[in-house]
Amino acid sequence: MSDHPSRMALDCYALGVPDDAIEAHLTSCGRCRDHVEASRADPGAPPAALLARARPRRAGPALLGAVVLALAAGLALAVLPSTSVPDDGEPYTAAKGEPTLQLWVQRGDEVFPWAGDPVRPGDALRLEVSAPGNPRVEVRSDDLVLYDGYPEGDGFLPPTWGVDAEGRAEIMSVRLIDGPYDDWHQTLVVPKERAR
Amino acid sequence: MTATYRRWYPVIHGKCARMLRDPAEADDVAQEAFLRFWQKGLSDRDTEVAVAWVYKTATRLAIDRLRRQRTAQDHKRSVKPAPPALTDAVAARSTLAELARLVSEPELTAAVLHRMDGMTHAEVAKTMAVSDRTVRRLLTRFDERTEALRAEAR
Repeated sequence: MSDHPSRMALDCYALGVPDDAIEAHLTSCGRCRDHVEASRADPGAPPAALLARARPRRAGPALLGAVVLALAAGLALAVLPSTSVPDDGEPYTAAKGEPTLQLWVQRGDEVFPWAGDPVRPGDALRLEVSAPGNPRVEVRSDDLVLYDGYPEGDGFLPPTWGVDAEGRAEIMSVRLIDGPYDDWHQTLVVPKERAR
Repeated sequence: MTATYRRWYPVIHGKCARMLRDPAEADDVAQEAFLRFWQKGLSDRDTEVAVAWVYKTATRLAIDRLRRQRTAQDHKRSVKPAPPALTDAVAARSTLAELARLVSEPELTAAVLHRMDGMTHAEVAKTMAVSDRTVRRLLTRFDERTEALRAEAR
């Protein structure tokens, strides 16, 4: 291996972790000095695209109507329409035949479609996928594969996931594989209520 | 979010840019990694722990992106190309897309962290949350696999 510190060590130093050996090394190594300077460069304000991706999703009127209807009538999950949650944070209407994704929240005895509001520790989450051709579905959270398989007959994925108290949000990346919409993917960022 | 972005994004983006040739893809993967970083509140954690998370997550997101790249050329190709020479394999971003389809994710992650990011075995082990021995085994398997693929293609 080289005599240079690793890039991870340089980044730790750039972010303020003191390291005498790196400090001494930087006095004689332009390459590593450049790396540290690049890691300390100010990127300015976050781009609009990033802010949009971080914004909690809001459901369109059709979905809110479905929620009211479901709560009023006590309908079972399977009879409610599914609504996709787009990455740009705007209300979304799927074209005919386009895959749609709906996250459902169970809170106590109540079950409702997720409409962008924070979920709570103890809530249970379940995904419904509606896509032509019944493609395989992969769900990931970070580098962990939460599910890799096919939806059940009603479009629901078999597992139910519990919400814990850690972090600010649950992130679920959903990807369709091997179907007509191969590599279609969406990321759900589900904010959590902060601990009081 | 702005304060976290200004402090952490250059590190996250730099890591992604070293792995992905296309600047737009590097931006996209870096934003995905940053979003996860921010949502998890990692800026409040110990810096070394947070940087290790960045390296592990950004590496895996980039590998995942490379795996999903299916170009028309890939579909047309009937014979697998020879993987590049081992010493250059993870030093050249242009070869990573090829390797991402040919070796396992843990092996490639270990190889990228060790040979592209210059980490020691101990640093790779800490970042991947595995033992030093496992890192050595992953790197050996990576070498054996790429060598076998090169021999197969000759």
